[in-house]
Amino acid sequence: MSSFEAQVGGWFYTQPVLKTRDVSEIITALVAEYSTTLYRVAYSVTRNSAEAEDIVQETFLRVLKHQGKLDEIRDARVWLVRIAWNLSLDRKRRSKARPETEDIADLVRTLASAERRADEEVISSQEHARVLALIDQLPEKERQALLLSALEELSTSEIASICSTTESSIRSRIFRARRELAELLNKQRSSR
Amino acid sequence: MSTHQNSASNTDKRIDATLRLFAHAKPPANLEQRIHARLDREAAHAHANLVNRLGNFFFAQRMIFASAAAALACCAIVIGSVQHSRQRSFPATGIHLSSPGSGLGAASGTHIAPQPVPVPENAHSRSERKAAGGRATVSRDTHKPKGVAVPESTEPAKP
Repeated sequence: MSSFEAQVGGWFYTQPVLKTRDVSEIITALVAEYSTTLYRVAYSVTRNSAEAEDIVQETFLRVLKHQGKLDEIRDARVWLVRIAWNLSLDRKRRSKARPETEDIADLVRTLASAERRADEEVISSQEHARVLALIDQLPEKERQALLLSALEELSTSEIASICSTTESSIRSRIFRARRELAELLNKQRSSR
Repeated sequence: MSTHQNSASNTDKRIDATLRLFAHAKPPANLEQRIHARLDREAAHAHANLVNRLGNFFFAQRMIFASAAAALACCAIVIGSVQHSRQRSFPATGIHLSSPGSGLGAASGTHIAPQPVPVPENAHSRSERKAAGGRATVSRDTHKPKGVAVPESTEPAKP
């Protein structure tokens, strides 16, 4: 918990943005604005709908717990995504012992066809699972940058803030991740 | 070269398509309501916990205070008892000799004569009295203040 508080402390802001409003109103606004983004962040790590939802709820429970510091948060989105990411990693580590329960096939099935591009139609859920398995083989920092870059809501500077690094470092991490992933995919394809 | 480019492009498309799954992932219906419900539940639970913790804290305080008071009372009883015993203790019997030459000493102290005391001629101690018939007598010649009634001596008057 102390590391979490230190993490929260890192986001203290000198010019409070959120103040004089009721805490419950603030939390309601945060839930309305960021629950979907947080769900996607959690889902990208756990790949399980129930666990992702639980992580989102847990994230807002942390907010409730630290409600006294809400008016000192500089960037709520970055702060929340960071909490959700850490919670997701913890959950993923703990679930290592349990069998994988990924919902990727369900997601591919249920995803509205309008949201999918024509070139994606030919990619089966098995192929998605294969790519995801290779993503899991990437180093931690590259994987984090790649997965967060997939979320359209997050800019490179926000990803840099979440990862506590610079934008250029994030760009190079994404580049390296894609290159390694492509190599792994090509290797896998040539071996088949 | 163009085959290699096509292959790279195809790989990138596969990666993008997979990553887009996360970008388009839709949360389950009524997620916000469930979040609010859980927040309300946890807030109520936390409030109840706080009340319980405060109650436990004060209960513990009371217990500590009572224990401390009991321990203090026990100590007071023991110390009082010991003090009382010391005050009632009698001085050890025996001869108390004052240090010679110091000039200090209690009246009750035993005084040892610096030289042997000679035996009186009548060989009687000074405290020895003769009482006739067990009664205290006063001789006739004894100077007595007026108005003091004394029993008459039964001794015959001396010529």
